[in-house]
Amino acid sequence: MALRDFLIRRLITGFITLMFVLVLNFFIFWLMPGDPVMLLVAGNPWLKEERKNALIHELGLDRPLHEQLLMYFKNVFTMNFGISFVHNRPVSELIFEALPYTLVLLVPAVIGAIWLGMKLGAISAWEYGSKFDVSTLVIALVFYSMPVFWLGMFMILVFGYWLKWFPVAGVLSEKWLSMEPWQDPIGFVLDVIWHMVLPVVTLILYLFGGYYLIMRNTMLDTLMEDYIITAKAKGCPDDVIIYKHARRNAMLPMITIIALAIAGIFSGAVLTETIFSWPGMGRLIFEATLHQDFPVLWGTFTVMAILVVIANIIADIIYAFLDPRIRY
Amino acid sequence: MAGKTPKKYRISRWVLLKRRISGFWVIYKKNKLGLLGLGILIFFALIAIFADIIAPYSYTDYYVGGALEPPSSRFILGTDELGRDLFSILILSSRISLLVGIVAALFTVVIGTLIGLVSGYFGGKVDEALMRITDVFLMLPGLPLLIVFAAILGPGVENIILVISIISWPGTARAIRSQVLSLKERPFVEAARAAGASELYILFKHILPNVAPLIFAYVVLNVPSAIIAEASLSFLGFGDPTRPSWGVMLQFAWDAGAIYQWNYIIPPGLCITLVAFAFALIGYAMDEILNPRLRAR
Repeated sequence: MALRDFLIRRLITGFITLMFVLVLNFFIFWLMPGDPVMLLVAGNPWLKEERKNALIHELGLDRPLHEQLLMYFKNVFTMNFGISFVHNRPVSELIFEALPYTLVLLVPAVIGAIWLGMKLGAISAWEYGSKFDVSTLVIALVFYSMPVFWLGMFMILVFGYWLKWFPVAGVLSEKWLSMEPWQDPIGFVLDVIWHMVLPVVTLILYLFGGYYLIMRNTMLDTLMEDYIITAKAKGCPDDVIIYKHARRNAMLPMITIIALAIAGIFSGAVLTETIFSWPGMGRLIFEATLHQDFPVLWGTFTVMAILVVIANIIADIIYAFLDPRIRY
Repeated sequence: MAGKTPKKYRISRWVLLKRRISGFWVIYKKNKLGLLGLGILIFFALIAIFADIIAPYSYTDYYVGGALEPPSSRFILGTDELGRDLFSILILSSRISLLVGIVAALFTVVIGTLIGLVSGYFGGKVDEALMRITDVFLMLPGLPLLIVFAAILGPGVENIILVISIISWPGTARAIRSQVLSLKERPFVEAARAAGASELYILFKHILPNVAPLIFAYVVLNVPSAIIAEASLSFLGFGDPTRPSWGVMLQFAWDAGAIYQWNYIIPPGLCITLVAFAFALIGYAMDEILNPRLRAR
C-alpha cells in the first residue's frame, strides 16, 4: 500500500518536474535575445517562402505568447521540432537516427564506470589512509579534473596513432560501405565493438572518478555504524563485512546519486562523440552549434532533458523497491 | 546592541578573522594532498601573473617560424599552424583559463548563496518554488544546456562566464540552504529577533557570517568544473580566438588537424587538468576541515 502511494506520488512529482523542464526550455528558445521565428524558421536557406509560413503556423509562432506555449507543448509531445537548416529534414527523423548510436555507447560506459567506481570506492574506504586508498584517490581526482574531450584526443594519439591498436573514428570499417550486415553478422558486430573500444574507455575513465568519490564517502560513513563494529567483534570475515553489511547499505544513496549524474553523462557524450566522429545525439548537437542549426539544437536538447527526467523517475522507483523502509 | 558593549571587552573583527585563519592553517598544513594542490596553484598563478615576462613571443607574432614545426631549441613546443610559438601561447593562455574559472565560480557561488539564503531562511512557499527550480537546473544535462545558452548568446569570454554561472549554481544553493536551515534555529538568532532585529539584519549580519567558510569552500569546489566547462565551450568554438585560453588552443589544434602532434595537443590539456586537480585537492582538504564529521576520522 505504502509502495503504491509512493509510486503515485513520485510519478506526479516527476511529471511536474518534466513540465518545469519543458517550460524552461520554452523560455530559453522563445524569450532569449533574437526572436523565435528567426531562430527556428527564417534562418533555413532551403525552404521557400510559403513553406516557411506554413512552418511558422505549425510551430504556432504567429500567435500570442500564451497560445505559443500551448502549441509548444503539443509539438514537443508529437516530436515536431521543425526542419533542420543544414539537412533540410525533419529534426525528429535526425534524432531517431542518432539516439541508438548514443545509447549503444552510453549503456556499456555507464555500467562499466559504476562497477569500477563502486568496487574501488568500497576497497578504498575499507583501507582508509592506506597506500592503495591515497593513490586511487589521486588517480580518481586526476581523471575527474580532466576535460573529457582532451582525454579522447589523448586516447586517439596513443592507442590510435602511436600504437595503432584501435580505429579512431566512426562506427564501421570501410569495407562495410560495400557490404550488408547480414552477409557477415558476427564480423559486423565485432567491427562495431572494435570501433567502440576507445570512446567507451574514454567515457568510463571520465565517469568513474565521480562514482568512486561518492562511494568512498558513503562507505566511510557506513563503516562507522555500530552494526559494522558488531560484525567485526563477532569475527565476520572482511569481505563479508564489506560486501554484505556495508556495501548494501551504501548502495541506496548511490542510486540517487547515479540518477542525478545521468545529466552529466550526456555532457560527456557530446564531447566524446564529437572527438570520435560517432554519429549520435552529441555529435548532432555539436554540428548544430557549428552551423547555428537551432531547430536541431532545440530538438536534441528537449529529447535529452526528457530522457534525464524519465531516468530519474525510474531510479526513484528502483530505490523504492530496494529500500525496505518504503516497501513495508 | 553590539554598540553598547564597552570597547575594552570587544575583540576587533580583524583579530577574530586572523585567529580563525591561523587556526584553519594549522589543520590545513597536516593535509599533504591539500598542500600539493596549493603548490600547483601557486605555480600556475605565478605563471599567469608573469606571463608577459616568461613568454618569449607575443600572441600576435605570426610566422616567427614555419607552420606546425616540431619542438626545437628555438621553439620548445614547436609552432602552431600560423607559425606562432606554442610555448608562448601556452603561457599566455593561463590568464584567461584561470580568470574565467575563478570568476565564473565566484558568480556561481554568489547566485547559489543568495538563493540558498532566501530559500532556507524564509522557507514556506518561497522555499518550495526556489527548490523546484533548483531541482530542474540540477537535473538538466549540463553541457548541452551550456551549449544552448552559448549558441543563443554568441561566443566570447564574458558570455562564457555568464553562461557557466547561470547553469552551475544549484549545488551551492542546496548546500547553503541546508546550513541556513540549521542555523536559523540556533539561540543567537532567536536572541537577535527578541532584541528587535529585522529579518534582513539577521540574515546578513548573523546568518551570512556563519555560512562564510562554507561559501569560501564552495567557490574553491566550483572552480574545477568551471575551468573544464570553459575549456569545453571554447573547444566547441564559443571562445574568443583573440584572447587565447587552453580550451581555445585545443580548438585551434583540432581545426588545424594537428591531433597527431603531441606537442600541440598534450600541453594545454595537461595544464587544464593540473589546475582543476589543484583546486579539487584544495577543496577536498577544506571540506575535511569544515566538515567535523570527517575530521573525526
